[in-house]
Amino acid sequence: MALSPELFRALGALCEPPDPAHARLTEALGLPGGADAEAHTAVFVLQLVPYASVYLGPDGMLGGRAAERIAGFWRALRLRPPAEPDHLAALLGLYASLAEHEYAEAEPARRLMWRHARRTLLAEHLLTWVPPYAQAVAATAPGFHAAWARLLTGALAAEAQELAAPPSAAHLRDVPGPPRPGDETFVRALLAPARSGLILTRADLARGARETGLGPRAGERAFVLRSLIDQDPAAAFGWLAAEAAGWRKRHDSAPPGVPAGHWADRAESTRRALTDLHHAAMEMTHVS
Amino acid sequence: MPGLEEIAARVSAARQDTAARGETFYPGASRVHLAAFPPKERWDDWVELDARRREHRSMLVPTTCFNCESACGLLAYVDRETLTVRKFEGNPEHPGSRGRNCAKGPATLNQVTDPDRILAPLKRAGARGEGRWTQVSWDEALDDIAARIRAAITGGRPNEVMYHVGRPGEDGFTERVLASWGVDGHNSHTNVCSSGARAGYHFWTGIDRPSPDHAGADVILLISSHLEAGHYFNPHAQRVMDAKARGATLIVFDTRLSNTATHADHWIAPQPGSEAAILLAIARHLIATGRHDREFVRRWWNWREYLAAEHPGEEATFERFERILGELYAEYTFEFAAAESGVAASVIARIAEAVAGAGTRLSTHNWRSAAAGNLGGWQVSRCLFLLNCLLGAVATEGGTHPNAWNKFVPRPIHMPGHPTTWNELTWPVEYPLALNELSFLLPHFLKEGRGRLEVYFSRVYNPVWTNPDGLSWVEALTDTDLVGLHAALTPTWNETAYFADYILPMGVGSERHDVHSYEQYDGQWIGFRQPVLRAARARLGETVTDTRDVNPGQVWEENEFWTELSWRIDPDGSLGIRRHHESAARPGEKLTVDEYYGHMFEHSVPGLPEAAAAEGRTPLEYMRRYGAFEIRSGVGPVHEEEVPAGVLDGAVDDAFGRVYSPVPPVPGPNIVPVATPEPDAEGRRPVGVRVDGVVRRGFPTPSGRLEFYSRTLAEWGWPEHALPGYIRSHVHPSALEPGQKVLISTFRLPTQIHTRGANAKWLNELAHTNPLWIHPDDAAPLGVAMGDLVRVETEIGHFVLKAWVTEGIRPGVVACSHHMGRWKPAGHTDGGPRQVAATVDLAKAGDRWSMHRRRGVEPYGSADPDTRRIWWGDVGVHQNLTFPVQPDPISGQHCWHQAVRVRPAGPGDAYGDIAVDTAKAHAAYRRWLARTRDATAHSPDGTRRPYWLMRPLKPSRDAYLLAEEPADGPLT
Ligand code: SF4
Repeated sequence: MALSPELFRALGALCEPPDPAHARLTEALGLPGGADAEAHTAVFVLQLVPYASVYLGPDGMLGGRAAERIAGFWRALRLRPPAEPDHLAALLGLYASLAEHEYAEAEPARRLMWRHARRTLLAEHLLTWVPPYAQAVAATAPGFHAAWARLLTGALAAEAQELAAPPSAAHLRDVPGPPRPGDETFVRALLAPARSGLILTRADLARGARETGLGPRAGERAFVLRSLIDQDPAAAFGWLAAEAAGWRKRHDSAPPGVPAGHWADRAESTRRALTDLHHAAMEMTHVS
Repeated sequence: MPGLEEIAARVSAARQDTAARGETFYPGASRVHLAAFPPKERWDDWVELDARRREHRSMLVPTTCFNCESACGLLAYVDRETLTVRKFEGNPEHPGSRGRNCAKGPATLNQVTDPDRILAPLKRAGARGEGRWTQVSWDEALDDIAARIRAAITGGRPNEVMYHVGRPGEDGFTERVLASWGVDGHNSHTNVCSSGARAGYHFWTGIDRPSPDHAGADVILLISSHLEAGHYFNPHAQRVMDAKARGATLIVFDTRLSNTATHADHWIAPQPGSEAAILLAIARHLIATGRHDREFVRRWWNWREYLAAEHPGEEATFERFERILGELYAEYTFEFAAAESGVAASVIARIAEAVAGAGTRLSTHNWRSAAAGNLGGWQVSRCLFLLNCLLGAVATEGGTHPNAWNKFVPRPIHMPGHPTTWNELTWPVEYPLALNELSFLLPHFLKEGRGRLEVYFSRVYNPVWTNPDGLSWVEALTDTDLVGLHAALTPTWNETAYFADYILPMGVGSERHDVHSYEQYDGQWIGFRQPVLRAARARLGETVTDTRDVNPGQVWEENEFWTELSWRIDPDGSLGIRRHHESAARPGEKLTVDEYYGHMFEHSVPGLPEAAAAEGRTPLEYMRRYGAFEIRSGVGPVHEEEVPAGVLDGAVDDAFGRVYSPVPPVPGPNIVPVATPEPDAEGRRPVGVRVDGVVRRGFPTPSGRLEFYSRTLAEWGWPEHALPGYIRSHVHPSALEPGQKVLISTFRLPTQIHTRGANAKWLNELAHTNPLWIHPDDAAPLGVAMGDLVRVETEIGHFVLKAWVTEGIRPGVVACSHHMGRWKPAGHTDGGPRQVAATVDLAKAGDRWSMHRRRGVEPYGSADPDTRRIWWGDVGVHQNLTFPVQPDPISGQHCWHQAVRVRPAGPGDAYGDIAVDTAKAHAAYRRWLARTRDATAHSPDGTRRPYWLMRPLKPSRDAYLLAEEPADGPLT
């Protein structure tokens, strides 16, 4: 049986800034506690911004070709793209309204068109990034947001099965290759999830510094990561290789119906490259 | 743990339950597809949770924002328990603003709750300008003012009564009040604002404003900062963005990097005053490459009239005209425009190509900006509209329409006749073609002895602060011989009110009635402004007949005020005034606002009675509930409409196809102002124009066509400007002395409201200062760094402010926003907006004035705890005081740009210092006056002014005749 579209709209609304009206949503969804402004900021503003372009784009940055492609999807539906067409709340809201149109449509051919649009949105613009994104939220955020992320993954997975979403997606076909050691954009590529298969937040990097005993430096993520590598390449690459292995496992355990092949392949390539670097750095350390 | 299906079903059910209770399930208008916007069915009882999850039940009552001209819809959330306004949001039922507002709209709440607002009528206690006040009753103030006006009217001194308006309320309302008194006493701010741009449009179309259809355009060309600071900030901005989202190209001419410029596909920063040269280069390109719409030009331009006047005896064919047209503009090459503007020829060529590609989907707009800055600025809008006229992008989808076709002014219950007098203080004989009153010259006219004022109303206007040369205003206003009584009608304290005899508090946007209509897309709508608490109480079954009963303190509204005042001027009706303010239903009683608007909505707004009846409401109830009504959309090219055969009975054509008919006009419900072309010699009225054999409505110009050639300009002394052309500005580089720069002072801060913002705390926190924009290349030689004090010297004085070093301004040009720089004289015990006004010492020695800042603003205790949280102290500098008046000799527009010198501040200079010599100011006035060509020497027909031109409060025809020997004629 198809899920009520309202579920997706409600899940999307919860990544908007906290509002008293969220209390009702939280209750209906059965989520534990509530999101206060601080937790919201930590998750959605500081650690894991909910924009598709960050997780699908070649640089791991907001906007660009990925956002434009999504805006094009809105336009193809003859809708004016909102200011942030690739925001998760906008995408889930759109998903809900496409489903509502489909269910309200009496004419079979039109109904099929709505369904096709929804399937495309799901396959191209949601399943391509939301499952790993939600796993990152579930892994790093406290109870409320972790539960939200699990519910979201479950709901999307159910839809993927219901609609038999195809695995290939244009976004991921266009992603440049995995991070290549020796390449000067190596660190940037590591931080671009679609290229590396890894989602590394600020909090992850701070944890990496703690676990390796290295000094965390304040700055943007690329700067922090570079400084860890500069301080102790062997330790830093070792930690990163372990992170990549962890991500590989997470991708492998994606729920049925969620195509995770691209992500698992990339995480594995990255793990191998990092492992090589780790070994090379170890040797250098021993030589010197 | 419940399954997904169960959770999903629960969410659906929860939303349905919540909606059924009239409450909101999703928070505010968010990315979730406006799922939460209050549906209008629930506007009587809408429930929201506050931050502590307490429920609040509100009535949603519409009104119209009063914080700029756009008249966007607002929805007041009136708390059902306390009957106070909790907040203002947009009104989704408003066809112009479509539920959206700029920051100034919701800040209406700050104006309502301003702890420093004026709550009762005040009368000065000491000398005028001394700053001491006593509270008086409305009766006392009304009786005093009414007696003086009555004495002036009955004593044959009607020209001593003047009403001077800044932000107009309802179109024509106060003009009709003055007409009912028989007084030519209307004075507006328009000549310091938009009359330059208006003149350019008016000479083309007989209508003085454009209505660009931005949403439908492929290319948008703005000579203004419309997106963030223009007149149509929000309604136009949202449509510009709609067009951009569709892929339209935005071209912006602005010497300063405005927010609008940051959104442009092509932004150029030309030398100020060179805009018309660039536009003519684009026009030349269109003509030379044959990209103009030949058929449109042939059918609609008055080229035959031009050929007859300027090329008599030559063959009058269109082909001949086209050849001449090419020759006329041949000199305006891209290279010429580049030399004038400093913008590369290749860039101008690219823009010209973009314009050429727009076809009939070119929307253009010029308002204030270059038209308000330069000598000859009126030619900027004229040259801009030339592009539309060349491409046929006139009243097309995506083109620019004349505003009157996209505006609806409903005929009111009473229409008093034209005054029979002519006021030389506002319409002096030197400026026969000025589109609006020469308002900013008033102090000089008074000082020269051209007249005096018995009663002067300033109304939502602050000439001391807004106008150039404000200290000449202070000199005139403090002279009780020149101004017998000054009544300031204002919701807030302002620099002009300090020099009043009475301060009469009038309501802000949610506390007064008005009907508005503005051109914002190709359609016609009306918006209703109403005291929201009055409407809320009416919904609860109460009857309110006096808006003072619901407004704070004794704050009133003008509609009721003017009726009351008119009755007191003519208590027994013997002057013929009272009848215009009487009830039609109950003769002998005062007209109420309910009857006034009830009558208007019932009889003069097509479609409204039917829409109201469909909901079981009266038209007035409908407007009180929804606040706006769309009469028509997709009006299209009115000039192409065929004139009905019945109107053409006995009609005759003149030599150029203008068609005149003896059939009298049938008054329609829409009284939107347009020009009134003259009848023919037999008294037949112009009804249309013959185009290829068919009589079409055409334009309200003498020729009935688009007037490429203005016979009016040619005949009234300005033949050299009879065609769209380029006039070198008073700040053209060739006119500057070595070391002088151009100062641009015309731009706004998009979150301020001239001086009406007063204590709008949210807005003041956003914007409270106005530094001098200066390019690094100009700052470096002066040794000036960011934040350093600089002294800017004008012709009549100087001001001292901080430098803001930025590449967002053209080198050689500096800029300072005309917002901010509010002040209050030290020693004034009452008054002054304490969040934005510095306390100053204002001193005068002979003709030399100085202003020195004692302190900026600081936190203070009040009814509003936020006033203790004021963190800013700097409130900007009042530069306008140091500007001489610079009236354009044709349009009458004050030419704002200044030639200045910028120096690092000296040891004696302090932030906010102002020095002005009003003798020099008067000399500057005389110098600009000498540029004029007055009607006594140049009128072709013995009148003061071409009768066909638009004019607020048009007097009767007889009043247009020049006196044989003017008793108090021009002092030149
Ligand atoms: S643009 Fe802003 S200030 Fe102007 S009417 Fe609209 S909301 Fe009010």
